[in-house]
Order: sequence, then C-alpha cells, then structure tokens
Amino acid sequence: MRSLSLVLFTLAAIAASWAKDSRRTRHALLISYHSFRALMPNLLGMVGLIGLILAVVPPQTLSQLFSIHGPLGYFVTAAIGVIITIPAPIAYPLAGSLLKMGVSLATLATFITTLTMVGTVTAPMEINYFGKRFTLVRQGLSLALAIAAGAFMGVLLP
Amino acid sequence: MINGLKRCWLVAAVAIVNVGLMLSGSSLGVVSFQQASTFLWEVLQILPPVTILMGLFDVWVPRPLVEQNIGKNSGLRGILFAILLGTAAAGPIYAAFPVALSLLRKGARMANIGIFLGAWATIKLPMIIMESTFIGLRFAILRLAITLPGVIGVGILLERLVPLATLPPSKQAALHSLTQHDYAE
Repeated sequence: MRSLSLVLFTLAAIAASWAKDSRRTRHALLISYHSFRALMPNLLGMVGLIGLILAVVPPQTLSQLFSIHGPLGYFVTAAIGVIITIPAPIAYPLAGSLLKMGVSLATLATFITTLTMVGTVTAPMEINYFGKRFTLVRQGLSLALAIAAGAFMGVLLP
Repeated sequence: MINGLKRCWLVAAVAIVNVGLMLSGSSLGVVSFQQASTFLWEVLQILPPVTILMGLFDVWVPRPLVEQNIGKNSGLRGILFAILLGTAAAGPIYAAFPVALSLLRKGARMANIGIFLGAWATIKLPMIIMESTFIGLRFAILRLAITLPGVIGVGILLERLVPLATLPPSKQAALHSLTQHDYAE
C-alpha cells in the first residue's frame, strides 16, 4: 500500500516535471537510470545474501541464540544485530518476544540500535554510494553508539 | 571484463553457494532463492521510485537551497533540519542512501549527511510508538534520549574522519559534472 503510493507519487512527479520542462526531465531520468544500473550488482548481491541468511538461519534457531544469558548473550545479540538488518515492523515484535524470554533491557537497546543503524548485509550498497571508508567509519561509530546505549540502559533501567 | 567480474563477486558467490546447496540435495538452496525473490520484490517497489525522485531532485532543486539549509555554515539549524528530514521519511535504510548522496552532491555538509542517515535509521515517530507498545514507554524515551545526541556525535565524527576525496571516484566525478548541468542556478 505504502509502496503503491510511492510509485503513484513518483509517476505524478515525472508528469509534472515533464509538463514543465521535458529536456530537463529526460536528463533527470538519465541520471536515475545510470545510478540504478551502477547499483544493480551490489543490490542483487545484498538480496541474495539476505535470502541465504534467512534460509540457513531460520527464526527458531535465532531465538535459541537469544536464550543465552549473561555477557556472552549480550555479545551474541549485538552480533546478530550487526549482521542482519530487518524492517522495524518485524524487529519490534521480535524484541518484544525477546523481552518475555528474559533478555535484559540493556541487551535489547543494543540489539535494536545495531539492527537499524549497522548492517553488514547492506554494506556493499553503502560502499557503492559512498565508498569503503565512509561505510566503515559510519558503521563503526554506530556500533559504538549502540554499545554505549546498551551500557546506559543497563545502568539507568536495572 | 575483469572490472565487471569484480563488481559482481557477491552475486556470483551467493549463486555458487545456492547451486552447491541444490546439488548436494539440500532444500536450503531453493528456500534461499525463494527468500531472496521475496526480498527483491520488496526492494524493487522502493528503490527505482526513490532513484527517479532523486534524479528529479538533482535537476530541479537549486543548489543554494540545500547549501543554505544543511550546508557548511548551516550550524545548529542544519543539524535540526537533517534530523527532521531523516525522521520525516519512512522506509528502509537502503532507500536513504540515494537521498543522502543527492543531498551531498548539492552541497550538504558531511556531518549532516551522517546525522540524516542516523536519524532515518533509528529515530522515527511510528517506531517510537511501536517500541513503547512492545517494550515500554520508558525504554523508548530513554533510548531516544541517548541515540539523539549520539547520532549527532556520529555525524560530526564522520565529517572529521571521512574526507570527500575518499568517496568513490564515479560519485566524485558526478559531484563536478552536476554543477555544469545545474539548471536551477
């Protein structure tokens, strides 16, 4: 539904732009085409990798990994968050069930933050746009932030 | 040719693993392929429209507008603007990359690009509501209170650690070629 409105909005934007200046619109579409074509290899790689991870690590195995407690559990959870990137509508119910399983709030804070900000599987795409150094620095700093968020939560919400 | 192969190494590696799994009689190869197709369909609904919108953005939005609001001398206002832009949009982080690149090419400050990406990823109103329903309001607010300054810090450090010259050469070229075609100036 949301993606349909995105497509409709885009079509309307192209039409409006075309009505105003067709040459400029053609140029815009050419820019878009080139940047999308350049992205294709890494995009397909990312998609394939996520398919593979979802197949090899089914959700049941994932929840077993989360049942490890203590510091080791914290690192395992953070590592899972670093590797995978899942959409928020799936991430929050998952986090909610983890809470019921007895996962600590500190661990959850790190998990959610790494889940959304750090993504090893989206890294090839990020590199495609911004280069290796940008990607490495941004994801590294975000990981540090996620760990700090977990530590703060551990102290403030025992 | 070699360049083309190098660019496709990840797809090739995944394909080889999948075929290997299928040949070994495991169903995992098929499952992996199905999961990938579902995800690809999702990506294809989002990324091409975003890419087209960014192409239109490139030719229509005047550079001074971006420079003024989130450029080098935009200061606190730029930071607020970057956060607002990031939180207003909905969508996965990979949809934010083309937007961020377009902003950067129009003269946005690198720190604000980092802040924009961080805000897009982790600070969202609907997400805060979901977070408080599934985990707790105190948790959601506290995490926001920590990540908000954190995201700003990440952006500022990013600017210090990543010079523009380390961006991919093709994107750097685009940085220059775009100013020639910048109709809106």
